[in-house]
Amino acid sequence: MKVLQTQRTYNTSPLPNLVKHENKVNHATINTGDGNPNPSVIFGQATAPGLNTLDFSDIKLLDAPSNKGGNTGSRVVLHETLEAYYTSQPDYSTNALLAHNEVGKIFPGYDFVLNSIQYGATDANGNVSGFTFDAFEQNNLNAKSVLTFKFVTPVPRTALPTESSARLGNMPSFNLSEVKKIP
Amino acid sequence: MRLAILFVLFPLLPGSSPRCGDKDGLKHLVSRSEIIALAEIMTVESPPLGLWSGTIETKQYVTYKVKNILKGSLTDSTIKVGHQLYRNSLSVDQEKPRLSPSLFRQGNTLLLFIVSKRTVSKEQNGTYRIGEELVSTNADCGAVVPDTDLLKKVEELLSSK
Repeated sequence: MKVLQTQRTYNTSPLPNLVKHENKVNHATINTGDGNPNPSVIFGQATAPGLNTLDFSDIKLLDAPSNKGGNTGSRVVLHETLEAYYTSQPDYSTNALLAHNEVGKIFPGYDFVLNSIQYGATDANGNVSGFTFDAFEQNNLNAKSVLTFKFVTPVPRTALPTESSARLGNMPSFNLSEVKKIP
Repeated sequence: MRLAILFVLFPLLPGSSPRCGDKDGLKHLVSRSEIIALAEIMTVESPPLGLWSGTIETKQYVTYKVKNILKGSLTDSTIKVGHQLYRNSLSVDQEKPRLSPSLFRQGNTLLLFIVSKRTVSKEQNGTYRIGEELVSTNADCGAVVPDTDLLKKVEELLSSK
């Protein structure tokens, strides 16, 4: 398993329960980023077969002191790492979705709640600094989190779509700033 | 007879990816899919999240008119299917987090391999509503061009059960 940035390389064989046989050809690679927020990634991304990208500025929010219990940064890293490992194998190389679902049974990702975007308060200048989005841990409706995103620059409320039509894809650039796990 | 009709319907379309026609992969895909259907694209929605799938799975929704059901059953002849946006998978654009515009074009008929999946949406009163939606069984091969060779293999797998 190769970790970009630190250039450490591991053989994938120490995970015997996850493979049918030792595989010295296929390797999982994790791009750990440069430590800066990556607006195109929330926690992690399946970038290509055998390659996942992490955003540690997002992941570390899961381990905030006020955020005990539930999903942790370590578990999300394991989710992404095992997903890359699965998709590095011939049986899974054409199916990142299957890898996501299989790994999610052990180390869950998140499912966004449709229509749950809510803008923050509008300031005296008529600008909004960010919004929240609800999510549940994969396969677990008892584990809700509220994710707070901050716009890179505050945006006039009048320039934003209505909350009911708001989608991450039609918002100005933003970064994840807080994860609040709801007990 | 049904297979013969399908061959007449799709004799000249370009072939599907060899990766999706692989015998073992196709067997797995057929067995895992609750519904296999030929359907014509009516509308392609814009990508709702604008991000590639990762820790959070993202999808783009397509509405189809169902022409022929090979496996399973549907109550409506019009269905909406969520196709996952996994970067570098066979069904997506090479650059932007969206479905391949050439594959998912209004009027195209695709062979769909789909399953139902639980969804959660937020109501205006703040409560959550749990529902179900149809999604691709496989991020690469959940929607493919139905060439005659692929259709023949699928029919053979379905009839061998």
